[in-house]
Amino acid sequence: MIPCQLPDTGSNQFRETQPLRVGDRDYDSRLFLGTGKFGSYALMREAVEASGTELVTVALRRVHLHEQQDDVIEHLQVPGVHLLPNTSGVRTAKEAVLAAQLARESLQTDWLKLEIHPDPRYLLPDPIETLLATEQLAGEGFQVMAYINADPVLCKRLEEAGAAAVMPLGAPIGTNQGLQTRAMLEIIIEQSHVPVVVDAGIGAPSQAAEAMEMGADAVLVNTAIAVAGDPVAMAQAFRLAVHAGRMAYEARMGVVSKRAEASSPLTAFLGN
Amino acid sequence: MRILLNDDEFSLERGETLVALLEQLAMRDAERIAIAVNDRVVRRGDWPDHRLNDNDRVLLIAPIQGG
Repeated sequence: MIPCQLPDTGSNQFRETQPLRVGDRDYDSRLFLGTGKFGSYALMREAVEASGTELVTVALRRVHLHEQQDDVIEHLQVPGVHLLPNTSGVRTAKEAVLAAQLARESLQTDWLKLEIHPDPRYLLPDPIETLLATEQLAGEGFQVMAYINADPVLCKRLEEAGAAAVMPLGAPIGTNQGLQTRAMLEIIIEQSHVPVVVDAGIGAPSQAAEAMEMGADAVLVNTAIAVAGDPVAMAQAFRLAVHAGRMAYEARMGVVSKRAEASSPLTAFLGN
Repeated sequence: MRILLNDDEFSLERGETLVALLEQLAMRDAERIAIAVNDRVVRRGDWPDHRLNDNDRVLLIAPIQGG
């Protein structure tokens, strides 16, 4: 699969980047997409296609008995795109485990974005309940991708508990504030033996590129794309940014220094 | 028989199994719903035989858009 259909630049084709392995699956695209907040299913689908993503989240909710049921999954049947159900709405590990089991039954997948955020104002994840739920769900064969605060110690504990990936936040969900947790993300990336997916708060393609340049394995974006004036164009912009950021990381960036380092010769011009 | 369906009281009129409940809701063919009874998931293949009891708490969920 071509990971990213980029503009033709003549003789210089853009390089492919290394595939990302999470759990038992490889991904060519390192951009994961949330499907919330899109104005219509048609727009959501177009954005999914434009993003090049291979993994999209969906939520679960109680069926409203007197509402017409329109099946969101029908609109996400895009070749190469897998589903990642989340546990949004749960407040405890116990509720998360039940939600995960229901998600598995509904969508026939072991993949799970575990998110437990009891506080509606900042939607910050509960670390203790998340760890408890990860231990149980990993034991039940789930591929747990755990959404958590950017806490390096917690990330190691989740890894030990069997998480398939850790998903530290850049900023609170839906805020578009970017990588407010940058210093902690750097430590997490340095230490982690499971993929690190920066989730939540990424509001601009440049911020996604920044996360990828730092060595994040992937990013998950929803609000920044869904609420853009043109979500399809924004999905493509994120696709390019994530690819560029990963290419830069694989190309190994130059070191940052305080003093100037000349890029041109400083001698032998117009004599001494 | 009265059960709690998604936390609302509900009167079962056409039978006592989960399939009877779904038929009453006109959801017999809904593809991606999942059901828990008293906090335990009941797999799709077990719906025809799963008998409900008075005051059972039935949770009926379906996927929606979300991040």
